[in-house]
Amino acid sequence: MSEYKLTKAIAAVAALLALSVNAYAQQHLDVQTVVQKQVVIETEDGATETQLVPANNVVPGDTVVYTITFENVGDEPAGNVVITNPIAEVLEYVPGSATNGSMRIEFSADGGQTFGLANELTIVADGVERPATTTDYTHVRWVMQTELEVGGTGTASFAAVIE
Amino acid sequence: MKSMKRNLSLIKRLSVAATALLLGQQALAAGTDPGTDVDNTATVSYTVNLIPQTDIDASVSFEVDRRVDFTVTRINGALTPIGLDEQDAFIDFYVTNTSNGVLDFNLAAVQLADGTAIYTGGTDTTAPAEDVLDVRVRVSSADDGGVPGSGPDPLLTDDADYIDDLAEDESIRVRIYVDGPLATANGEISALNLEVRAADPAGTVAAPGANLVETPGVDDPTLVENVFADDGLTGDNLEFVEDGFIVNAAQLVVTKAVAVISDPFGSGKAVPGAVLEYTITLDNSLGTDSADGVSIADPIDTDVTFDDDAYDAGNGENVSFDGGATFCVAETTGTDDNGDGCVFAGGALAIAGRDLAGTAIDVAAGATVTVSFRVEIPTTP
Repeated sequence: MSEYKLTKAIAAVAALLALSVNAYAQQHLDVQTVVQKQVVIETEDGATETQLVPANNVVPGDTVVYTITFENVGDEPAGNVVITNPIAEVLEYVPGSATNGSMRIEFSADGGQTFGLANELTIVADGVERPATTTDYTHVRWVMQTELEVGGTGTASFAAVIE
Repeated sequence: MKSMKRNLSLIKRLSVAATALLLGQQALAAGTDPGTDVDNTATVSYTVNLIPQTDIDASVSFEVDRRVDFTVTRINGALTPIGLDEQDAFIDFYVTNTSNGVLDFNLAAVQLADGTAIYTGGTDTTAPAEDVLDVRVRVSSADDGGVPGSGPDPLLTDDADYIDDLAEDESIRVRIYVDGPLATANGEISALNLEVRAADPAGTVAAPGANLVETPGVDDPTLVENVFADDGLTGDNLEFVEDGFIVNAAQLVVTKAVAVISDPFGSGKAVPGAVLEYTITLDNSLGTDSADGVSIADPIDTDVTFDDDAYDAGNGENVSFDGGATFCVAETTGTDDNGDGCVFAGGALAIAGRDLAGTAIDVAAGATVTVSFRVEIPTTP
């Protein structure tokens, strides 16, 4: 009986260990987000060029760029990778700024309930359905069309203006 | 029924227009308040071997900083006339907060140096000793409710030198009160700058906030920091605009002429026995204010005698104003017995009243006053 108890206890510890190992193993992807400020600087020859700098001293009217990087750090390919990013209330999506050609870029104009391609998205305002404009966007998401291989990486980004 | 439908559609159209107006107003807002945290979380969902895995979140956030931006505007389109020693003349301005949050402002009125060009295309022409006096800055008791330059008049009893808590997109009137200079020539220009600096909105009128400084170095995402967006003249936390006063004063031109009235020989010459009339002209036609209480002192050659009763025999009246409109009596006894301000004493004629009641000699702006008296050249030296 006491041996059984011991076995049970060992099993429980093992289970705990297994759980934690499991939890670790579930971290197949490493995801990072950074925010940068977009500034226009004048080069020596008088031309202007857009640069990304750390998001210091951000004030209304500034454009910030969010960049989401991800890497498959697991040991199996990841499928159906979808990155969903709500656009904060005080931000306004910059048209055409969402990047990454190999992923399908979709938007939501209803708080993330439904998503669609930019040219297909509609909203209902005052009982009238109309095409959604970029100012209506509440979310942007990237839908990966292929599996993310082990060690594979990807980047998604979009720009927004502080209202 | 049909007309009701039409009404409904009109109402609908009106409400669309109203919405558009509202949207337009929102677009004017100066933006997200400083201190607002902007959080961003990207969520990644995926499967492994078709089994859905726990979503992974990646977050980043920053705090919106304070964009310090404001304007100061002069209300007048031309210089403001000011009389000598005129009390509490004023020029008006308004300050608009175009930053993204509530700001306080420190105010100062600064006299411009002689020779400084001002907006009218003219220049300040007053040396410090000729400048307007007792400069005071006052702030309206209320903002102008979204109509820049309107709002209550800033009164002398209102707050001085400090705007407390001006909300974003609001304007408030500021007035510079001055007193007129005491002795500055007609047409001189005394100009001032209203200098405005954004201050810590935690300040009050009693304990003004310090002028804001731009936060140097790397952003602290936990602090509201200051970014000067001011594109004004100086590119820092200072905006100013000038306005000025133009002195309205008398500009008296005094001339004296003599004519022979009669002579014993009918020669028209100033020979012994001839009577001469002197006419003093007080010309204020260039002045923009009246010359009041003018007094004239005219030493008369001891060889001639003052001609009593020249204008009204028997009354002793011998000084004429404006070609005989009024008279006074310059007593040759040397004592102003009738108190009319006119007396001839010790070879000097003093004239300080224009009639027997001693009414002061005032020369209105643009007007001319003539003063005449007669002397006789003695026949015996």
